[in-house]
Amino acid sequence: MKNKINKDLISNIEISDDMKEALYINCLKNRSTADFRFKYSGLLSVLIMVAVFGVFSIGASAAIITFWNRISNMDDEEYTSYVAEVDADTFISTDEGFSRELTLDEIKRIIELERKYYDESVFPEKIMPHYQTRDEMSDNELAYVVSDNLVYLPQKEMDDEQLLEYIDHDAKKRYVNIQELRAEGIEPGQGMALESTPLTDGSIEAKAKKAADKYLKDYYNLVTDDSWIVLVDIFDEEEDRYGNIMTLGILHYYQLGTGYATSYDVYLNADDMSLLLIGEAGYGSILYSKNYTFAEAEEYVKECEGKALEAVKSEFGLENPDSIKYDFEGFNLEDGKTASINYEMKFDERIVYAEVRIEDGEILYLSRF
Amino acid sequence: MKNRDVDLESVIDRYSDMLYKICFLILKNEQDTKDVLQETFLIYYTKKPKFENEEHKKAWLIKVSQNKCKEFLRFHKRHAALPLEDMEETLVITDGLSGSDKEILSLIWDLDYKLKSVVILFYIEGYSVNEIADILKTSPSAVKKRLQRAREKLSVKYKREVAYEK
Repeated sequence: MKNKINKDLISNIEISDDMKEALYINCLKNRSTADFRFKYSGLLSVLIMVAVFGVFSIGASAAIITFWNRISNMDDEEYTSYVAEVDADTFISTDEGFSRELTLDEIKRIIELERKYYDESVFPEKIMPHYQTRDEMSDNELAYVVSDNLVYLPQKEMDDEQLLEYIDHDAKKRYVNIQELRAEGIEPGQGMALESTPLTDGSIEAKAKKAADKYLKDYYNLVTDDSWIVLVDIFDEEEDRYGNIMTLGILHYYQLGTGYATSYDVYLNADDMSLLLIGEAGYGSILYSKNYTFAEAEEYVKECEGKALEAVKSEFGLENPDSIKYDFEGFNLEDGKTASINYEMKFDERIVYAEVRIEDGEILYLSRF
Repeated sequence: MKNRDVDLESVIDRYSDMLYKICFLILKNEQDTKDVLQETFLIYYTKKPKFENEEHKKAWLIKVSQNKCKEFLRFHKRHAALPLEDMEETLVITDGLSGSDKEILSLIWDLDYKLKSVVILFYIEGYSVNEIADILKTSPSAVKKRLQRAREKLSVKYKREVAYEK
């Protein structure tokens, strides 16, 4: 029978020569995407390094040490069960790996509980069981079932103990996954760490951090403490999409956890510390704000556009855009609901993005980079 | 100006288009695809792994890129995975395809991750079940099961049979 699925279907999907060259140049510069989504693997890489050398740097909290002891001291049986789980679902995304989606309330409680787990060593009383088949499960149990390669969540909302088991399972599975990848010589992601980038007084990294702190205070009223990891990367002679050469500073702010909590990115032109991009990411930024249907959100398009224009003028000195396009940001919550509006503004050849939370007009994302 | 790294340049030139197609189909947005390729080639450049032959190198690159795709999907927040019709507002993807081919691509586009990865490697890249099992670090029977499920899904949606030849 003739195969109807073949290379011709995707013949139009092509990488551009410019993108190839950018990949090449970035590799020579040893430049990772430094994306916040790799933070966990980075965290665990550092934890593994700590295990090897047996030394914690100054600043590692007692809770972090306890956490590391917990995941690195799994007994053989538990470790092996996680290896099997990792092997079985090499390509499972979050949505596919569980019997149902988390409810918004569960996500909220996970965000709260993971702070206790990582920062205060509040661990579950038992560990999530691994069963061969679903028959072995009790009703409303939280468990991984080997034959289905699925984590079954109870039909009713999980209680605190189950949520802690969920957080614990997530941390251990990543730890094992990274061990397995490393055994194959594959680095599980670069650019993220357990500890903040060490800063020397007067260095460009320290100046960038100071500038970024101020932007975060101004935009989000955020003052970070020791529970925040701040990564600072400086790239010399970086070229933006308009051909401008600059020293680029990229700063990531996050706390350890499952990835639902709010994290922040700041991009700076480190030559003058002017802002290129500031963004708030994670469910935490919208879970506690009101959601709107797309029809309801339409009524706020003009009002939020005013906020976006104000921020763009104030920060970038740009006004009277040639064109404005908008779309609703859904963050994969409930279909047809949104909490923010994203604007794309064109000023001559320059494109600026501004995302505005509908409920309070806060700028969630601003970029001229 | 640094000298050109001939090996790196050659491997990007030879394999980036193939990896781009695969990762783009899986991630469904351009930015994340670029990031995954960046991470993949950076590992190649920094690790400088040894390979028995070109096929081994190609499989290794696919394996690394797929692990990166997995990481992106797990932590996906910012870049939306767009429906094919929305993607076509900015990128040319189905130009020149027949109506039925557009339908097929659209259905593959919407498959879940596990099924899509084996469909791409089996049908588009031409790997055998055993080779896919090795790349995806799973068992041949699991690959067969996924292919079977993908075929069923596509067939049901299409109301036509999609070829599957062992």
